[in-house]
Amino acid sequence: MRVRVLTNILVSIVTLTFLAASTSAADPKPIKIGLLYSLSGMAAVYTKGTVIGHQIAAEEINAAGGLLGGRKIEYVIRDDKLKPGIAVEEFRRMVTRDQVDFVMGVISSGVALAVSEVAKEMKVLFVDTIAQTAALTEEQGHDYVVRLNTNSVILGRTAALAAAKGPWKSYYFIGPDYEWGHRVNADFWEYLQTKKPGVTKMGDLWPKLGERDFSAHITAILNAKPDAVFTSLWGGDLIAFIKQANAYGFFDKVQFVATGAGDLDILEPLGAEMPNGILATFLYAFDYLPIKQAQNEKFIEEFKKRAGYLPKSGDIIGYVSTYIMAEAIKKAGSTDSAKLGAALRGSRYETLLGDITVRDFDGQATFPYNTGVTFSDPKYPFKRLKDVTRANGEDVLQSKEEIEKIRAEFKKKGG
Amino acid sequence: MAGFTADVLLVQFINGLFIAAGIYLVASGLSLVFGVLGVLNFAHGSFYMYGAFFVFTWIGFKLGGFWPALLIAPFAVVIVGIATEVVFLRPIYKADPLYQLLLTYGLVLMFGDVVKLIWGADNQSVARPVGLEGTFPIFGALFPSYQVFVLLPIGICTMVALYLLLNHTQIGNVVRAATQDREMVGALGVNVRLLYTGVFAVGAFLGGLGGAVLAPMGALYPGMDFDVIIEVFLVVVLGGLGSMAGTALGALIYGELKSLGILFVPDLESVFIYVLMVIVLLTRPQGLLGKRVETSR
Repeated sequence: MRVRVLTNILVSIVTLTFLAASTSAADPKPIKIGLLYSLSGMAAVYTKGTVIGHQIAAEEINAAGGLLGGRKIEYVIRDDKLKPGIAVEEFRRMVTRDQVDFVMGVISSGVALAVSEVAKEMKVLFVDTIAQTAALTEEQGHDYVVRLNTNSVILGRTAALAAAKGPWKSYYFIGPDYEWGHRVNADFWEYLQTKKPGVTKMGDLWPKLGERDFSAHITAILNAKPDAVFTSLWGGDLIAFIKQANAYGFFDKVQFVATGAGDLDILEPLGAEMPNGILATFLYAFDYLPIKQAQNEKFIEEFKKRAGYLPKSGDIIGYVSTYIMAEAIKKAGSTDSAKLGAALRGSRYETLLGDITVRDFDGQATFPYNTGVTFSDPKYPFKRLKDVTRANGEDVLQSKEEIEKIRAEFKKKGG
Repeated sequence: MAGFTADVLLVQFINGLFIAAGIYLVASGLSLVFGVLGVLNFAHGSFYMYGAFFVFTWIGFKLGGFWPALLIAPFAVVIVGIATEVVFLRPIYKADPLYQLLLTYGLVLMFGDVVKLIWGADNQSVARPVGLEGTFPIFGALFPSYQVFVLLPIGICTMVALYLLLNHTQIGNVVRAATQDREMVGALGVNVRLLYTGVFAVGAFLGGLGGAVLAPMGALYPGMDFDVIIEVFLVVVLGGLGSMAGTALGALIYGELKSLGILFVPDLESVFIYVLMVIVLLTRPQGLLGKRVETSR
């Protein structure tokens, strides 16, 4: 009990300092965007760069004269502490006290689902930028939520498309034991079966999030002798798994298919320890952009100057999503949530990550997602991807009918 | 799942030993400190984290790489440990255990923020030492050379060294006496303050050594302290708080249950150990070997 009181006091102090630091004066009537991210604790690794991405985009837009006749973008930045309860409270406060026009953010899927509920209730647009659980735009979707990122369906299915082209017939699965892991593994497996008849599943392993020691998992998988292993492990867990599996000669014996393993936050820390030949998916790898090279290079340079490292997938999403919102504001001619939401949906956007649509029936963006094979590039101290294929979000996401079916079933279950 | 051969069981068993050795290295320090000082040190996971990050930093210096770091990092952690004991713990030995828990929990948050300040919040990685990146065959199965030649031997040596130190030396006698009755030991002319600082330093060393040895096997990040401390508590409570033999037994059971459990019921891999802990706590609240060294509290 006392521990809780003490942490509550600490939390309040931190929040107060934050509030004090982030109120600032502004000219004409700014467009106020709430940014809600986990800025302390574990997830801060990912969100720090996302906020920088948002800021770079806003500064560029403001320098070019702003929106709606000279209105500048202004952010109200809040920490959700990775907790749904705090996130919901902050969302309300941002809307009522800080008078933000709409809110972007959140890294945790659990937080996203909670925030989405308040957005619906308050009729204020919530633009999800990082959390990728499909539930947000599928069964629990509504008019006041959109996602400007890939989702778990795009991730799982894109990997399945690439894996289906390989000769592998038997698969073993390992993923973190919570919503994300189960969801991505299922998305991959269900789609793979439709693309490659005759594949078999040899087993599932569900280590807890934050597992340190995978040796027992590794030998259990090797013992089953699958052709390939699919994983939705991410972050430190994926790094630990790859390092430990390497030491068992794992990657000589099975084909490894890993979502997100091609993102820089995995490639950089692993360096030469990342094996060659892994089938890895990624959203953004700083120089694989088929379009808008000049703008991309400018972004990379500016980002490196501020953050001190190359932008990762979550960082460019902050930048790209801000530009999409700017387009939508122009189109709507307003910052009213209902109008903005309607303008956002069904439109096409040319972004740094490719041309995308925000689908009108579920608000899910159709970002293209990439799969490549890891290899050593002497120009970099970490592994790069080759034979990269891109799948468009449109091509892998469920159709309108399928989404409606999912929503109907969810309703029937009392959701 | 069916059709395991004896080979497979053997492979998983040896794997279980590796897991046990790793967790024992970290858990032994926590158990020792609790046994003598009566303080359940939440911040022990921080020592483990510092051990790992010190190795990472030393390798960045390019002064001999991993091997010197394996020795230097735990001693660097000892300095942190001594400072912690002298500044924070000394004033509260006589306080309610709840305050000690609060204090060490506060230290966890503080140490965690220091890590973020110095090393950042990103994942970091320490490469395996040259020559030990590959595999080594035992009974025809391939095992990681690092686990075979570094982790397991250091785990066993630490266990033997602790046993000898506690049971066959003069200092060990005093330490064991202090676990029984610290006031009497003080009355007999032993400098209890110094003894406590020394024991805490050894505990910190073990935590740091655990972090250093395990560093090449996983990712380094702020928060790795929390991930390890839960497992460590589990092992120590299972074996009996303060009992060194109990900690070794707890680690062995933990490693083997985890390793063999995956083979039999993969869906419930993490359940076994908790079920066992519940059973042990209900039937033997002091832990499996908890009676051997009872604290005076």
